[in-house]
Amino acid sequence: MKGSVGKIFTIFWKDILLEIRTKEIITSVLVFALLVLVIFNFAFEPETATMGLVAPGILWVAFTFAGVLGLNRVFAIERGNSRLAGLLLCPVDHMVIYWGKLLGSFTFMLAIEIVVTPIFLALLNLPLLLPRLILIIVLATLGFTSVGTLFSALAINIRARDIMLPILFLPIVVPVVIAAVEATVVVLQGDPWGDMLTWLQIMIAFDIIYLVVSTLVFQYVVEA
Amino acid sequence: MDGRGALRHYILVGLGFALMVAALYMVFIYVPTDKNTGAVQRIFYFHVPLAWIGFLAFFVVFVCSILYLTKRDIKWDVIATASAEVGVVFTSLVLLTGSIWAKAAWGIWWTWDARLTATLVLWFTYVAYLLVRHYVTEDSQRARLSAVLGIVGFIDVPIVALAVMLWRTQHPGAMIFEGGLAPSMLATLIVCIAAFTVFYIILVTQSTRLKNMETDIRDIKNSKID
Amino acid sequence: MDNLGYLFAAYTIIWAFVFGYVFFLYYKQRKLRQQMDLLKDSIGEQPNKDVAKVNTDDNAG
Repeated sequence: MKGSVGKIFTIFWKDILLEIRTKEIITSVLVFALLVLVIFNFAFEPETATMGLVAPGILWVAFTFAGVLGLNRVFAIERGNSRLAGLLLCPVDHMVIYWGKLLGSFTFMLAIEIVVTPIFLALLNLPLLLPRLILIIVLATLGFTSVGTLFSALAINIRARDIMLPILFLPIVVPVVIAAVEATVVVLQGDPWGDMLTWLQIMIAFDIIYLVVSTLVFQYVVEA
Repeated sequence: MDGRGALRHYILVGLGFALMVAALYMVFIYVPTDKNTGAVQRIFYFHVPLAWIGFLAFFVVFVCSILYLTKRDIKWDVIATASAEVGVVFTSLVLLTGSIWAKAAWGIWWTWDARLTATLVLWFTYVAYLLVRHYVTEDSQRARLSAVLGIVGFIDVPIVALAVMLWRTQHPGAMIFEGGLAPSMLATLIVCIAAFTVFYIILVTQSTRLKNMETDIRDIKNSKID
Repeated sequence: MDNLGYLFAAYTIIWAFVFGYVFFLYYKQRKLRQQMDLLKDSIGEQPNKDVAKVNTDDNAG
């Protein structure tokens, strides 16, 4: 068990190093997420009254689409030069590869969200640090990446993978999107903790269920 | 089809036909018109069985997916696809008839009612499932990947239902049914469900047979080329 | 009396879809039959043995 943690971290570290050197995922996805925020400001009149109502939706649409874009790359970077085959030939359990990759995509997404969220809050003239929002973001991101990492591995095997990943991913994460948006509404309105408890519970349930199920079925996705 | 299979098929088709005729008779002649919603309430007797059998079809996909991954017998994959196909056809009908009913009863084509939303998400999930099957060419890979989707997609159903239900109680909306059903209405509903269950079994077995035939023909062609 | 148009529309759509799907299956079956006949002709009337054989190696993989 202890060995597995080390191996997971090795795979994770490989992805981080690769990202530091190529800057392929974070920069482009970050710019994309910011663009989504900006475009939505044109779609809705940027008055405070309407913006307050649609703001949580805008934030989560930006994160969801940025997430899809980033997740597309998680396994795509392994495609050339039989790198995936090499990764799978490592003398480790397939679960280890899943968790290593999951940790990578989770970190990348979180890195993007750390930059986007304060900008989003600044645009709304809200305090830049909302601890409860951080909790929501962590839970939702874990949910996104638990399914997303699995689907990313699945999508590299199919034709039209760029369009198929969102088609597969979006319906599955509907509960997370609903819960995240509703919980964000509570936070932005400054309502008490109790109001967002149900939504947090849904996200926690989703995270646990999909972490377990994805860990179990990942081996079938990457099987040669 | 061998002799016994053919016999079973004809019995099934006969039974399905009889049940469907009975269902139509009960829906349009036997059952009294609902006092509150009027004649349009008769959509309910086909709408609900379609929804239930559609859901059953996706449950079959789920079970067959697990069986495929554990047993690695391609027949489970074939049944899963057939069931997913029928499920998508039925769920499409649920959404369309539900929409028509909403228009007649509430004056709107669509409302983000819990059940409607959950059904829509389900529909998208299994359309994606069928699309993936279309995009993977190699047989065992297609079976493997779609089995994973069949499992992952179905597990989402209760979470979606829960999330959507809580979401809608935040903004109270119209409920589909309050109070019980009259006995004659319940009887009609049961006959309709029976009719659609038999119909589902016929469609899945026929579709399975066709898919097997397709594979056989392709394999024969390939073996001739080799 | 009321809303009969909607009722009619709903059942029309249901039967249109159902017949559409059944017809799709029928069409596929007919096409497969034709291919089967073509194969039988080219093989020379010994198709049954081959069909039985390929059926068993499906689960390789």
